[in-house]
Amino acid sequence: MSTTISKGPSKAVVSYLIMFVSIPVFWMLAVRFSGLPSVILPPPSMVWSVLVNEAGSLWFHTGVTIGEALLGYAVANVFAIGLAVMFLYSPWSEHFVTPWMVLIKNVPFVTVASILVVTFGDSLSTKVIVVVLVSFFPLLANLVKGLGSAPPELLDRMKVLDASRWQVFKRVLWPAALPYYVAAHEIAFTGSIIGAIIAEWFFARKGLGYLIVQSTTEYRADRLYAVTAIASVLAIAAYLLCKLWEHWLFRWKRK
Amino acid sequence: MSSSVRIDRVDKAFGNLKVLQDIGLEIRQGEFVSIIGPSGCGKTTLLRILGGLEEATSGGVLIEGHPVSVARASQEIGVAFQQPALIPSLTARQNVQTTLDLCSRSSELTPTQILTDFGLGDFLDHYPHQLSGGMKQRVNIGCAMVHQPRLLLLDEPFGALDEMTRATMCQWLDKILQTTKQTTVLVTHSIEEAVTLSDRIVVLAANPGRIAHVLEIVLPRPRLSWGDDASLMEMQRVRIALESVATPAPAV
Repeated sequence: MSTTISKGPSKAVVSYLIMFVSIPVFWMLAVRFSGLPSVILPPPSMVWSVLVNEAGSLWFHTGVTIGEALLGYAVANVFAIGLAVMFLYSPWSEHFVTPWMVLIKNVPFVTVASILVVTFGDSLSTKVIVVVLVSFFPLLANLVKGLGSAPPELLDRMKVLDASRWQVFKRVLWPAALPYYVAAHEIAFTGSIIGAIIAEWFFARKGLGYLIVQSTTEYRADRLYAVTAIASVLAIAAYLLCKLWEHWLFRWKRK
Repeated sequence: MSSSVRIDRVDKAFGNLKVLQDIGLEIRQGEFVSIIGPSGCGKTTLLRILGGLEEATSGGVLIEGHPVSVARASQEIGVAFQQPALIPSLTARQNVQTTLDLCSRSSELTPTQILTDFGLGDFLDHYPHQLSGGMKQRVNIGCAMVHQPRLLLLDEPFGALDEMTRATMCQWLDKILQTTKQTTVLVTHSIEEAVTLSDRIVVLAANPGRIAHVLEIVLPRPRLSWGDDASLMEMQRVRIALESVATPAPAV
C-alpha cells in the first residue's frame, strides 16, 4: 500500500469547489426537466430556506450526531490500537481473537442494531456501539498491516543496539504503521458519521438520523434534502480533515 | 594484537537444514575480515550470529571476552546491511542521532561530525529519499559507527550500488577504517571489495557452510586501485580459492 501525497492542496480545493458549484446547477436542471413536484424534488432554493429558517434545530441535531460520531470513533480507535498492539506482541492472541472479529463483522448490521435497541434502548451507548462497529474494522485491519510493515533491516538495527520495546515501537513500528493508519481514517472517520446517522435512524429522538425519519413520515422532502446536504458536508469535511492531517504529517515527503 | 572476536565451533541449523558447521575463527582487534563464498553458504547467517540476531545451535561467540548478548547490551556492535536501515521521516543527521539516542554509552563523535567526515556535510538535513544510493549507504554506515562500537558488521553494504560507486565507496570506507581502527567483519560477493578492504579473507564452502580457506592479504595501504598488478594477483588468489569451493553444476 502506498500513500500518495499531492504536491499541494490547490488542485483538490479546485476540484471540491467545482463539485459544490455543480451540485445546485445539476439539481436545478433536474428539477426543471424532470417535471417532479416540489413535494418530491424540492428546488435548491427551497432546501436553502429550510437550512436558514430551521438553522437552530438543524444545528442542535447536527451537534448531537457529531458528538456521538466523535465519541464512538474515539472508542473505536482505542480498541483498534489496543488490539493491534496486542496482536503485535502476542501473535497467538490474533489467532484467538480473529474468529470473533469475523463473527461480529459479518452478523447482519440490522440485526445487531435491533438487538442493541432491545438491550440498551435509546441510550448514548447504543449509538456509540454502532459507530464503533462501523469504524473499528478498517482501523484494526490497517493498523495490523502497518505495524507488520516495518522494514526488517531497521528492526535488526534496533535489536543490535539493544533498543527497548517502547523505543522500537516509537521509532520504527509506529512510523511504519502511520501511513496505513491515516489511510484507515479516510474510510473510518467518514464512516463514523454515517454510523451515527444510521444508529439514530433506527432508534433516537435527536440527531440527523432522527430528523431523516421525522421528515420522511411528515413528507418533508425539503428537510430531507437539507439533512442530506448537512450529512454530506460533514462526511466531506471529515475526509478533508484526514487529508489535511496526512498532508501535514507527511510534509517531509514533499521536500 | 589481542583477540576481539572469538568464534568457537559454531553450528547453525534451521530445522533439519544445517547451515553452518564447526565455524572457528579469531579476529584480532582492529582487523578487517571479509567473509566470501557461494550463495547459500551461510555468510549472512554467520554475520547475524555475530550481531546477536540469530542464536547459534551449538558453539559460541565471544566479543571482547563477553557473550554477544552482553556486547549488544553495552552497544559494542554496529551493523549496516545492503538495504540502508534508515528511518524515512528523519533527516540524515537525525537518523545518525537516533543511534546515539538509543545508546547508553558516550561517543566522542557527533552526527554532524561523522557525516561531514563521510563527505555529507551539505546533506545533513536531507531526508533519505533525497539522497543517492551511495549517500544513503554512507549515512547507514554512519548510523552503525557513530557510537564507536568495538565491532562493525557489514552485510554487503555496497551490493545494491553500481560498479563505479562501489569502487569509490570501498576506497572511502578503507580510508575511514584506517582512522577508526575498528574491528570489522564484511560479508560480500565481491572479490574486489574483499581484497581492497581486508586483512584476511575467509572463504566459506557451502552445504553446510564451513571455513574452506583463510587468506591473508598483505597489500600495503591505502589500496587506492583495483587495477594494479599486486591487487590483481591477490584477486586471482581469492578467485582460485573461491572456485575450489564452488558447487559443481548438476549433471544434465
